[in-house]
Amino acid sequence: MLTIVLAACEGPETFTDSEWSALRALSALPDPPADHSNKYQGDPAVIALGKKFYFDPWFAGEATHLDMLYRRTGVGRAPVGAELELSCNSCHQVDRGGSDLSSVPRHVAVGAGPYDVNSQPTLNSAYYSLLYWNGRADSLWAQAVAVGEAEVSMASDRLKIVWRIADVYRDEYTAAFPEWPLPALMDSVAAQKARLLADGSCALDNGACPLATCTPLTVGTTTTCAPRFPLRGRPGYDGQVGLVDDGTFRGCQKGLPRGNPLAPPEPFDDAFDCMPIANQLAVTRIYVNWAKALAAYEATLLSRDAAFDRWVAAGPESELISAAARRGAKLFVGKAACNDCHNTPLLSDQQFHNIGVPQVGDHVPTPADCPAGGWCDCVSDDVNQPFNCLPDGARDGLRKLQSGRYRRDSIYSDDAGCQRNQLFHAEPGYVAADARECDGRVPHYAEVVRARAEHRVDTLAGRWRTPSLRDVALTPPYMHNGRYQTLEQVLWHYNSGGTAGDGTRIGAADPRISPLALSEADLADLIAFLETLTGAPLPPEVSSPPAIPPRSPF
Amino acid sequence: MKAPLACCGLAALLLAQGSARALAAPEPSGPKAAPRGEAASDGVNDGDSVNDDDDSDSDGDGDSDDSDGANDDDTYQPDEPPAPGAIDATGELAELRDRVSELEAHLAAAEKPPTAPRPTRLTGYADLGFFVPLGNGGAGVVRDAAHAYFPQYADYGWVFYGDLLATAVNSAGEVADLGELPGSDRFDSIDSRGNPSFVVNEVNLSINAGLTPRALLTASVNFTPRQGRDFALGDWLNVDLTQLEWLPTEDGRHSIFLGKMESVLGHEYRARKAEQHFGITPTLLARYTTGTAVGVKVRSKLAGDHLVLAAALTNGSSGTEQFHFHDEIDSNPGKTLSGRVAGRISLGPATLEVAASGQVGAQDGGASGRAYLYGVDVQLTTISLGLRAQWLRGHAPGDPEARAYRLELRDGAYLEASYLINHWLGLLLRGELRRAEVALPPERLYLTDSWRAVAGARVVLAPGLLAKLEVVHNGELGAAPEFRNDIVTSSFVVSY
Repeated sequence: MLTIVLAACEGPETFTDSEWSALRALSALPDPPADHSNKYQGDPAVIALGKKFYFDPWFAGEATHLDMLYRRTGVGRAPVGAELELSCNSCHQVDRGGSDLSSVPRHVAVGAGPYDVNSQPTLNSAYYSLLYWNGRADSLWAQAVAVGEAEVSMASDRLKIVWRIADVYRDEYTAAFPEWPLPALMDSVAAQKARLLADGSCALDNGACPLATCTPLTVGTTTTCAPRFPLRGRPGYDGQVGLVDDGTFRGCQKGLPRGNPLAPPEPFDDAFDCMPIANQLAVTRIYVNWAKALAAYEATLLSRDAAFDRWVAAGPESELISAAARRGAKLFVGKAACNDCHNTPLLSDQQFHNIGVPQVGDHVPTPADCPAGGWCDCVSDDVNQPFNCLPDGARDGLRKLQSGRYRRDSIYSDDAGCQRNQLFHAEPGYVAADARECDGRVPHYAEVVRARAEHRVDTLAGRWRTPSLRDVALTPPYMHNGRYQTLEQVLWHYNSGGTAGDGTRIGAADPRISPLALSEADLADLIAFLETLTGAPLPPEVSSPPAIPPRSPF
Repeated sequence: MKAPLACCGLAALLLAQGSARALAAPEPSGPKAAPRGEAASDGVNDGDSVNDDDDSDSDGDGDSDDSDGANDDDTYQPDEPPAPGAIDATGELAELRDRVSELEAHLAAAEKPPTAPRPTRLTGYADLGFFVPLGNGGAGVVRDAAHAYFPQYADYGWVFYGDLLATAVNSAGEVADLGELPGSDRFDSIDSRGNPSFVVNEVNLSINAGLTPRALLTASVNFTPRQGRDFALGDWLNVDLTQLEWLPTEDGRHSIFLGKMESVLGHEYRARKAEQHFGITPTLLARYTTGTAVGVKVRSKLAGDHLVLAAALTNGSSGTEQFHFHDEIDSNPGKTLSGRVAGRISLGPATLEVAASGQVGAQDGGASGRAYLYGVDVQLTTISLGLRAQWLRGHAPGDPEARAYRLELRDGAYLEASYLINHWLGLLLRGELRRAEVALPPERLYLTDSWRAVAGARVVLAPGLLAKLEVVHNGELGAAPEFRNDIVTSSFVVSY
């Protein structure tokens, strides 16, 4: 008895066994998981090329000032129509946790136009099963494929990207992707431009279409001479997109309206869809390789070895972090219960939660923007419908993932096993039995199907993926829509139960979003703790900007 | 002490005298005042009954009372050892006979119906303690972060496993720490944060006032000194008993109680106070059975005291747990009906009591759904040994809008053995089980599938001074992982 008393009197118990165990479970971020859909991950040549792609501002297209609902907003990083000169690093600064510090106003990210959500850090992005706040991509490279051509972000097109690769990265690309060579006809931008007329058609050679580089193109009753590889072009987005994307030939649709009447006409006069199919496939493959190179580089952007990790390794009595931070750590796994969602060494459970953040802020779409039958009407979960249910978070994202054309089971994936069983991935029974297939992504492919069958699809509304808290002090603004600019505001949100403030909330908030009864001192301690999650600086060979070739003369 | 023990009944009487102030100043206050000596130590709170001996001698807490003050008797003192060569067996025997006669006269007088009101008595005790929490910051629960162990309860925001009240440090059931749980800002009366601490558990004052020969007013007030915070006083005062007992018949076998009174559920309520309790900590079921509710109660002993019936109609349940299962002032029209049927027989030197009890009524705390508890209890007692067991099950529907918690007490049970090695030393062993859900959907769920082992000892240091020690080990069953949340606690009870 005396021994017990004396032992217990030695000093206050700083952390209980369960608290310390919980904190240990948050530390020491391992290497990112293998990505079998991208066999180039880890390849030094591809990584080096991907780094250049990441910092290259000349892949981007022109400013649109369109938002995600195709509304003119007057917001973009350049005047409408002007070249964006925008790199990945512009909105994902590797020296700032891979976050966006340059979008104005600081709610949603701004590229060619305003996005619907806040930019997410690229550091540690390789750990996520699903990408984007709403989970609509299942690999880093699939995300890059989407970003490259998104009219609110890079607003580029796959032909421009591939032409620039051919123009200035030919040797590096060829070395990195020898099995997917650049088409011989894609020599240089300047040479191609010299071969084309101002309208992008081929100059006739003695009245004849020069078949070596061009091909006659008949649309309706009109026949023109079109380049085999136009300088600009991407698949049309009429909701029933062309061959390359869904295997159904839709062909040229020059002049046809798109699904959304607000949307611009077919991009670049539908130049891409009017290319010979083999060329479409070749270009798309190289475009995907561009995305895979970016993904391979992003997989090296790791935020690890934070002060928190070093403290955990040293033990609870260590003073490697401040007393306030230690108290904050106790709160993090205790009364504040942050680790309910921000868990694992990534400090994210990678799940989707509705934390009651209102849909409010500059260019943040609300249900009022989405009237019934409109472009972002959320009435349908039919994957074949073009509805773009923006405010709904995971309900929208997972529906889009379900119909995604660049998934791990697509022809662009390097995961042959996953690819082989694509047809079964919408069947809940198969999914349940083979959940580990496709690096464990399979269950997500049928999530909307399953939710609909279980009459709970509405519960997906308003859910967004838990972000990692590593480098959180470097990565404002916070929440999916950049609602909060400071960590104090974020903690206020949680501590108040997420009910304060204005704005429309989507769906039912998680029951854990209830007042936490934390004191002001508790909140200060939590912030001190969050500041210990900033990782060690990236090695210079990873973060230092590379030399970028000059602009290509498109 | 050996000689008087030759006769068990008398021995019991003599032992009881040790602590029986009532006998020390014999009062014709009840039909069977002499046996009451066993429970007279709960005289501080024995306001349960004018003839609470009827209860207490059956409740077997003779063990606690016996040892409580075996030598605390100013009318009977054990003989000093005779000097060598000074033994006068004949004289000693005569003296003993005289004493026995005297005591039998007291007993006979006590068994007569009271002819005068019991005099007013002011008694009480102070309970001081020192406890050592062993693990988990003194808290009894751990949050199931991210629903890792109980994914089937993912619809709840917060799920906690363990038992919030498992780390009790005193007889009042106060826990070493309530833990730092998200979304709750509860008054954590001990709040040790896992550190060992001295504590004044309770200072009690009781008044027993005989109004008429067959009417007694009893009140018990607990003063609990605790640290104030943020310029608020932490001390509190709890009037835990205020009852008027009336014996409608001369034989004293029927009682009617009115006021805030003890429960009729199970038997643990009889020894709920620090000076009555053999050990220190209450059982895991005490939270349901030892609360004092406001209302009316009747109790009758029939068939030669072999059958005891009790029934009560009260505002709320006999719970103490602060999850809105009971209210002192009713907030809904539904009342709570409870009852107990006990059979009691003598088996040689032992008394066996088997009982069934139950309770049904509107859940309080703003909820109005029907709550119930039911169970059985058994106790076998001798002068030195007490075996007690109880099983309880219950339900309260809860009401999230009123923030009243739902209760599913699937099983609650304990088996306790207490043994008096001699008049100053006693030992206690108890094994317990509690399987319950306490929920406020969808916000939080306290999920308990726990067992507990308690080992204790008690020492009568001097008349009116009792020292107790307990070691409590809490364990988990089912899917919950083990976590360390044991308690070593002690108690020094000074009665006055």
